[in-house]
Amino acid sequence: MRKADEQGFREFAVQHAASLRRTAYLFCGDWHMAEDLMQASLLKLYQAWHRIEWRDHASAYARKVLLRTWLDEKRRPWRRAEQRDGEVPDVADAAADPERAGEQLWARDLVHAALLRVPPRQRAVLVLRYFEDLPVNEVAVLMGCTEGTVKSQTARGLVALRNAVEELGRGAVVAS
Amino acid sequence: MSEGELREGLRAAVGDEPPLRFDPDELIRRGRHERKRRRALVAVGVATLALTGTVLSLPGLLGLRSGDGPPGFDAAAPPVLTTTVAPPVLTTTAAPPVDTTPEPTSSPRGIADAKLLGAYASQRLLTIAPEVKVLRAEFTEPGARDRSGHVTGFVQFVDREGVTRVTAQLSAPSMRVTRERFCAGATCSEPHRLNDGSHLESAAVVDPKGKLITHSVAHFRLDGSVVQVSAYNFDPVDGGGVRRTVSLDNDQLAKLATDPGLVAW
Repeated sequence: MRKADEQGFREFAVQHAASLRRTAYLFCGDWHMAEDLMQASLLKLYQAWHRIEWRDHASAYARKVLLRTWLDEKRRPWRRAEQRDGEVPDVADAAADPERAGEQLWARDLVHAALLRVPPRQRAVLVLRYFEDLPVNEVAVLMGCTEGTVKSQTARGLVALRNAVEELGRGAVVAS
Repeated sequence: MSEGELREGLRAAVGDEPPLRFDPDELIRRGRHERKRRRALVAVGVATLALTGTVLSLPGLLGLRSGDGPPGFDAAAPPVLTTTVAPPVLTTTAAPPVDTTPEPTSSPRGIADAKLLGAYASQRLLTIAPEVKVLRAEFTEPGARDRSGHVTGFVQFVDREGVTRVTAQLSAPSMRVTRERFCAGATCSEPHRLNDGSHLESAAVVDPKGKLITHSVAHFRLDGSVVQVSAYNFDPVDGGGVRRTVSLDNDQLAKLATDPGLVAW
């Protein structure tokens, strides 16, 4: 890579590292993993930096890479989590269950705790639309789907989020 | 929960953000290292392909004649070549030896750029196997810039079973790649003569443990050039797991090998 390109990439990385990590955190709910995702995404971006066609939209491209990196990571067998399709049981004592220990951290932040219960792609749509404030058409490009799909995923994601907030709220009441 | 509350909640969620430990120099160093590693992998892949071509050509270079062919090849018996139009019965006594001097090289007419050749091969692969997704294609420089007489390359793609490659070797007439050389060390099926008089050979190579399978089809063209394409039940460069099936069948390989646009000279 030429010096000028490398300098351009360095400036871009320094400028966007923090915001990429924040978005990654909202995707995955863990700051350490968010940092890994951010680093992996910037590394991929470095490999593609010589392609100039997307330079004008580098930050959008970076978010796209981040999203795909996270979704790919979610698909890895050792990352597969239990599918919570059924009714979520009441949380009687979160402190007694180590698997729920992470949730304890989120108890102070109900929205994010609930967000982690929303299916990945719906979660991504919610983060991109309501945290990154991206319009529907940009989210569609970023996720590689139609605008209609983005709208339906948003609607479903909001329903799932509201249900999760209610369940978490009930759980907190029982626990207290 | 309203959309406004959701926005506020998301902002609050990242409020306790830990300090960022980000070193752009370290990231760039890792990027450079990764880039070097990829280039080395490509170089190893191309070298492997070139070596495969050399090994397949070696029996002929060492003076193999039609009488001392590979096991199972009876030079005395008249081979019957199947054809769809007029099945001729060729006899080895009447017909000239297969490895006679090929016809002179035709004028340069092939794709004279490695990238274009890769793009063309990718596009043809998608035509014969529309369900696959091409990841990348790389070929050595063809045409006048090539002095080895071979152009080799691959198209890496992903299908239902995972990532693999189809490799191609385009041999100039001067390399004198013959059907006997192609079949030496492999299990060849009956040769197939095409309407224009050129021949197709199909071979299968199975490693001693019987796990790794390579299917190759070679088109022996009238001008003496040979286009050989191979598919595998594994990734020949990156390795990885063994697939249940070879990625392309012989018909698909034959379509690639006989593609009139797949020419480097």
